[in-house]
Amino acid sequence: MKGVVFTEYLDMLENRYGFEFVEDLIDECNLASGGAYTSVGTYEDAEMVSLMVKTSEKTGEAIPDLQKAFGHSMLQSFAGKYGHWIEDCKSGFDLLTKVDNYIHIEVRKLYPDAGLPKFDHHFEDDKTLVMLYSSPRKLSSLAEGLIEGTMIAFGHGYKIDKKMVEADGSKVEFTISIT
Amino acid sequence: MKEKEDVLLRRLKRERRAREAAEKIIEEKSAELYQVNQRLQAMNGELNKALSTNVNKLRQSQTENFALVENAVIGVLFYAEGRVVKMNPAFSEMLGYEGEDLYDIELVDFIFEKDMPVFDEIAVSIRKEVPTRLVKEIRLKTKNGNYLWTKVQTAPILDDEDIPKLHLFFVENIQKDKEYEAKQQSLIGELQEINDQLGNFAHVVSHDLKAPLNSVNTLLEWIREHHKQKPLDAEVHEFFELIGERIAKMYKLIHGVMDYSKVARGEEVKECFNVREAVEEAVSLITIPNHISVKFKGEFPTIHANPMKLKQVFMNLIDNASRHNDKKEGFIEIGASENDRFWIFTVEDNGIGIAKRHFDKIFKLFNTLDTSGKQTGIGLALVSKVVELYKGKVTVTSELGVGTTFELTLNKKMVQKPN
Ligand code: HEM
Repeated sequence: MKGVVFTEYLDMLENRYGFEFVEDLIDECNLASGGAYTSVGTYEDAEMVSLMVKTSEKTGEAIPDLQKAFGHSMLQSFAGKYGHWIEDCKSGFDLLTKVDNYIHIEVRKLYPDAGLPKFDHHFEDDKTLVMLYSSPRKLSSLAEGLIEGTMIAFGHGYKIDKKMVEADGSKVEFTISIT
Repeated sequence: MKEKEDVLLRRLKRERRAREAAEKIIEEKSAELYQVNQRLQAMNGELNKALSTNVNKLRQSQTENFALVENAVIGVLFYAEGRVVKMNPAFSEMLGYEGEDLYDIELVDFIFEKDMPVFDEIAVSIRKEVPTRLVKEIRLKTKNGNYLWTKVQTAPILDDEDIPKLHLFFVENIQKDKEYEAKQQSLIGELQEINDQLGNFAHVVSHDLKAPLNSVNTLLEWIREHHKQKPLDAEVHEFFELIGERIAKMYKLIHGVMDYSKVARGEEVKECFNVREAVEEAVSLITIPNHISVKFKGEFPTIHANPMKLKQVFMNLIDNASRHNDKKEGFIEIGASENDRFWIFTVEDNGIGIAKRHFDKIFKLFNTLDTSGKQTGIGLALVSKVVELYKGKVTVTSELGVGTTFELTLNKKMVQKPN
C-alpha cells in the first residue's frame, strides 16, 4: 500500500487524538517500517491492518466505522492534493464513475506499484448508481467512506445500500441514490 | 514532562527516518528520470534525423515535380482568383511566345471568339465551391493571329476546408488531331460521293459495255450469213477490222474506269514540285498534232501535292484540246496566276468549242460528246475529282467554233508545304 494512505491515516488520527496517541500506537504495533512513512514509499498492507486494529482497540471504535471516517478525510485531502484530476467533475456521480476509468488509471501512472480496487458501475436510473467494488484488500468500508465523502463534497442528499457479494468482503455492491 | 520529551524525540527520529527514506526513493526516481530523459533525447535525435530526411525527400520531390511541370510537353497553368498566376514554358511556346514570359495574362484574351461559350462553361465550373473537373476542346489565339485547337483539362486543388483555392489547367495541343479529324471528315464525304457515283457507275457500265458488245454480236451474225453464200472477201475483212476497233474501245473504257477509281481512292503521295515542269512532262506524254503549238503564260508556282494526279489532270485537258482542233494554226496555251486563296491554272485552245448546254454534263462520269467512239468520257470526271481533292474547282468557258478555256483552281492551303 502506498505511503500516502499511511500518512493520511496518521494525519487523521493526530487531528483526532493528538500526536502522543499516534506515537504510542506506532510503538505498540511493532511495525517493520517503524512507522517512518513517506508518501512516495510503499509498505506492507499488513501494517495498515495492524494500525487499524490497534486504533480500534485503543479507542473502542469499530473498524468499519474507522474506515468510513478515514474515507471521508482521505477524500477531502485527495481532492486538495490531486485536484487537477477531479476539477472537471460536475457531480458526485460524475466523479464516482470516473474513479475506475480515469482517476485510478492516472494514479497507476504516478505510482506503478499502487494496489487499486476495481469498480464496475451502471445506472439504475438518473438518480441511482450501482457500483461493484472488488479488491483483495477488502477495504469496502473505506470505499463506502470515500463514496459518502464524494456525495457530501458535492452537496448531494444521498442514501447508500451496501450488499456483500462475496462473504469475505472482497466483492461488495453499493447502490447509491440521490434523495 | 520527561515522558513528553520522550515522545517528541521518538517522533523526531521517526520523521527523520521517513525523510531519509523519502530522499532515497526520490534519488532513485531521479536517476530513473535521468535515464528516461537520456532515452528520450536519443529518440528525439532519431526522430529529427528521420524528419530531416523526409524533408529532404520532400524538397527533392518538389523540385522534381516542378521540373516535371517546367519541362512538360503539355501546357500547365496555375489559375487562382480569376487569373493565371503561373505557367510553364510549354504553354507560352504552344502559343508562339517562345522564351517570352507572359506575365499578368487574362486567359480570356486568348480565347477564340467563337469558343467563348466553352470558356464561359469552364469559368463557371471553377467558380463553384464544389471541386469539379472539366475537359473541353477550345481554340486559343496564337501570337501570329492563328488559332490553335487545344484540349483543356481543369483540376482543382483544395484547401483545408475542401474548397478549391487554385486550379491547374492542363493544355494540350490537339491541332494535329483536329486536322486529322477534318481530313477524315472530308474522306468520309468523298467516300459518300464515290458511293453515289458507284450506283451511277453500275448503271452506265452495264449500258455502255453492253452496247459495243451487242455490236460485236450483230457483226458476227452478219459474217456468218455472208459466209453461207460466198467465200471470205474484202467486206468480211472490213467487218473483222470493225470488231477489232470495238474491242479496242472496250479496252480503253475499262482502263479509264481503273484510272478513275485510282484517283477516287486518293492515294496520298505528296511532294514538292513545280507545276510548269509537271505540265511539260504531261505534254511530252501526249502526241500533239503538228498544226497545234503549246504555249505557256504566267509564273508557275511550286506546290506540295501528288505530282502524278496533277500530271493526269493536265494530260486529260491537253489531250482533249489537241483532239478537237479544226483550225489550221491551232494552239493550246497553259496559264498560271493566283489570288489570295487559290492558284489558278488555265488550259485554253482555239478548237471547236463546246455548247453551253453540255457544260454540266461534260464532268459527269462517262459523258462524252464525241460520238466517234474514240473518247471514253472518263477524263474530265477525273480532272474534277483531283481538283476537288485540293479544295478547288474546275470551270469551263467556251464558244462554239472559237475555242474553249478550262480554268482550275487549287486551294493554296491544301497544296502548301506543312512546316
Ligand atoms: C481524487 C480522487 C482519488 C484519488 C487521487 C485516489 C487515489 C488513490 C490511491 C493513491 C490509492 C492507494 C493505492 C495504494 O495504496 O496502492 C487509492 C486507493 C483506493 N481508492 Fe482511490 N482515489 C480517489 C478517489 C476514490 C474514490 C472516489 C473512491 C471510491 C469510489 C476510491 C476508492 C479507493 C479504494 C477503495 C482504495 C483502497 C484500495 C483497495 O480497496 O484496493 N478512490 N486511491
